[in-house]
Amino acid sequence: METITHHIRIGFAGGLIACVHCMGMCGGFVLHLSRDKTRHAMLTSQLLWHTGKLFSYLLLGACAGFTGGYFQLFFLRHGMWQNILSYFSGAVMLLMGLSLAGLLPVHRKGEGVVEWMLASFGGRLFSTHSPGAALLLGIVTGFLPCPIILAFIAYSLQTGSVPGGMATMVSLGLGTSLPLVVLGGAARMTRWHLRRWAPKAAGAILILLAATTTLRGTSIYHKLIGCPPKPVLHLSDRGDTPCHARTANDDSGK
Amino acid sequence: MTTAASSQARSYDCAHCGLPVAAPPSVSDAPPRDSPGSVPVFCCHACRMAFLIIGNQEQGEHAANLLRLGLGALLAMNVMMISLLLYAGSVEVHTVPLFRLILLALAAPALAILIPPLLSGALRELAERRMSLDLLIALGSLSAFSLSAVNALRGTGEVYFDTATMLPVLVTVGKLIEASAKRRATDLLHALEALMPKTALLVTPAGNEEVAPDSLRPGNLVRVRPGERIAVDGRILEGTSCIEEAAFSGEFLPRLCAPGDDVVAGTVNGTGPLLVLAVRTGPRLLLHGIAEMVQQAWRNPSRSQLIADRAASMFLSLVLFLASGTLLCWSLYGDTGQALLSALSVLVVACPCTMGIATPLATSLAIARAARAGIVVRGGSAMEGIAGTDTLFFDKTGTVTSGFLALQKIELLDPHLTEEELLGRLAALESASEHPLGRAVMEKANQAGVQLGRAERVEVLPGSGISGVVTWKGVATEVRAGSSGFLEGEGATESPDGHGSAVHVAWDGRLRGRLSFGDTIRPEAPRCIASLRKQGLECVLLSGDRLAAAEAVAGEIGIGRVEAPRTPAQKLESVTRAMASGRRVAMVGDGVNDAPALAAAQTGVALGGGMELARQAGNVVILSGRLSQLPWLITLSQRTACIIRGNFAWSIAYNSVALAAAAAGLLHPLLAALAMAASSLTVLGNSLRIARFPDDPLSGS
Repeated sequence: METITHHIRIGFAGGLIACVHCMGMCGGFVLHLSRDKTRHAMLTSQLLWHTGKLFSYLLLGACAGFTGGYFQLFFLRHGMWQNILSYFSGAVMLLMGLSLAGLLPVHRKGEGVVEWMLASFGGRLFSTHSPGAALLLGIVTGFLPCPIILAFIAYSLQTGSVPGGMATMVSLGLGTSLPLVVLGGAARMTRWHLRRWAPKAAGAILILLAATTTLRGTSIYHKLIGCPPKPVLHLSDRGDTPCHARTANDDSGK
Repeated sequence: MTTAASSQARSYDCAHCGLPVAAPPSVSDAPPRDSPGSVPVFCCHACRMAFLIIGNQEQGEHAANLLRLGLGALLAMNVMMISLLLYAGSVEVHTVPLFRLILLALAAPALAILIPPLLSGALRELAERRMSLDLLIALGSLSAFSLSAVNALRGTGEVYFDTATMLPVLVTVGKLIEASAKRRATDLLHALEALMPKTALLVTPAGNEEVAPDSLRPGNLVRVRPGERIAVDGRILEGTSCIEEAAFSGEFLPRLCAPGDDVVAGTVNGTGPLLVLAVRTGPRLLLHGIAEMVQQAWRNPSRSQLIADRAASMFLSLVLFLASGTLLCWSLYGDTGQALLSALSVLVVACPCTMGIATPLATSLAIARAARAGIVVRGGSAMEGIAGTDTLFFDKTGTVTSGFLALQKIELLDPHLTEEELLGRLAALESASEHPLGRAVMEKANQAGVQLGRAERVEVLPGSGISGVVTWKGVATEVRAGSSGFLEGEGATESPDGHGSAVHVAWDGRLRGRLSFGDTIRPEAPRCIASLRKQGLECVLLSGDRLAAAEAVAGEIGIGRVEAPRTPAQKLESVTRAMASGRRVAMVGDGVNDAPALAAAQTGVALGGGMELARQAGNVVILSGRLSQLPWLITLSQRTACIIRGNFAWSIAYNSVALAAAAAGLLHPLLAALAMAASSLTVLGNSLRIARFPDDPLSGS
């Protein structure tokens, strides 16, 4: 049970720290949903969106945990290096971090097919204002190939257990949802969506995101928060837990 | 194509993706589309599902379907998670039966929500005599559920609730992806039609009035403000401006337009306000004409589309056979659960996507992409045919040359004569004539700022020359101008070198000068020929003109082989002879005097001209008339052919491996569904690359 709590802590902290990135990526969805006419409808669609997203994360966590467990067993049975999974996960996390920080030398031209498919499907959902659309939009959002999600799926993979993976991902989902719920509420209260400067504010958030993302890619930032330059893959019970959480996230840049 | 077949085919487009669809038997007597009360027609199960779930507009039914899918997916995800917990042994052993009951409780409503639309859609497909495996997948899902429900209640045996519930979700998502991809071709076309402005400023005696473009009629005056899109095809009456035609002709640089120039609806006016006289409006606009011709082209399936269609139906029968074989073999082996799962895997993993969707999509996209660059390709076979071209025949006048005569050289045969006097006298004479050579002389005289004389008693002898009395600077003489034959008496001889026409001028019984006229070569022609030759294509110049003239032009643009002089009948013969010797021939012409050759060649490319020409001549029409688009079009077609071949290769490789693995029981149905989705994405994504085919990099220069 101890380990589960540990995964939950890591996931939640990751989600909270990732909030700037999430606001940039998913803030648009939330602002869109807060446009619903009545307070009731707005609350329902927000709730449904978050539910859909949360369950997508849960499923991803369960699948990753299951796959991880399968491979751990496989490696154990064939007398292979058991840490291989941990190193693989660490490499994925690092890669995601570098990709977020824009440090990867490979740059993709234009939109990918997966992004395009999700966008064309999601775009149609955007045009309808119904609870079903909000729920489906949430589920689809959960599967958006965002670097943070990929990094935490890699983490779930190396937990090697279904409950472990689910715990990590659901707490990550809750962690990322909290700032988004606040954003949605704030948007409603301040009637942001009706203001002319709403798009500018969204732009400012994105610039902020870009700034932090870039900053996080520098070694100065790592030194600043006292993290080692490489992610710590070895899990110990207490002491360096927060640092590990930070490493996973900091490398993924938020 | 028979009239009956074409008129019937014209009546139906898929209600979701907009691609043409053969009339299904159940609706063949129904009124055509757009008429009130018509039933929506779909090209495939994917589009039917996508239409029901996402739809084109907000409707109560769509909202219900969305909620249905959302709830079903949520339940299925929970079933999946609990199943994973059970598989991983993460729950206490004594609670397993309880968890299995929970699974049953979750899976039952999930299936009740998810299966009915899948079943009814698949049944409709069958009723329309289109084969689809979805019915079997839905039935397989139901049997997996029933078997699991019995086992869960009995407390022994395997349960497959995850398979039973996730499968419909994954299949539905797969269908939505397919349907979205199919819409891409029509999206590309709609992007063209979206170039029409929402309103136009109609100029009336009472003042200016903002009206919808549809209400404009030919003869109306339309004011186009700076930065606005033009709403009519027409002629500029007032104002000078730069007009951006990039979306139309692929030309990036704006065109400078002045009064008298033609403009096309959908192009963007630059900095100056314009007053435009509408010539074509409403459905007769070039813009709508292109869209309509592309839609007609989509109804002309290509050879590979036909092969793909046939392969798809054969493939489905094969899969059906394989699935029943798998079911039978595993059942005989004594493993009912495995028999069911393996047969289901076979059904699910089979990806007929390449044949059924990716190939037609590639061709449709290529046609729409060409239309975006102002090239109308009339049919899939024409599109695919261009790729195989190895020999190009070019007409000379109006194709590699601009078709307008210009005065190129003035030779003075009298040492005391000035060029000014020669032009002044001749231009005065020619001002009374409508002959193209006369107009070229007038143009040159105007450019040079020459003072014109006064002409009297002008006589025109059609085909040979012109004569009259011209008074220039107070001196009156009888001037005669014309061909060497016309001035034989004055000692005129055939010009030895010129590749165009020559006009001799004489007065007072003496030959005074010789003017050579030539057709100007299109500036982009040498580059076009160079780039075609770089692609390894043979270029031939066919000309009705004299050999010397044709050779001079060919030398200038870099064509090595010249056939001249050729009558239209001889041009036709050259083309058919080349085709008979096994060459794949494209004929490039302006569509006026080389129509027989254009029609005979495998690819007939007509340059420029309006919609009327496009309807008649050639199966490819380059509306901008720019030769430089030809190499681009050939590259586009080659890319399309390459993508289609790649898709077929992938499809054969994937299906043989995947089907074998599924039949052997190595592939779980859910993994099969994921593999199938990945394969679909691969081939569809590959085809979609055509939509992003880059513009001609040379067109801007």
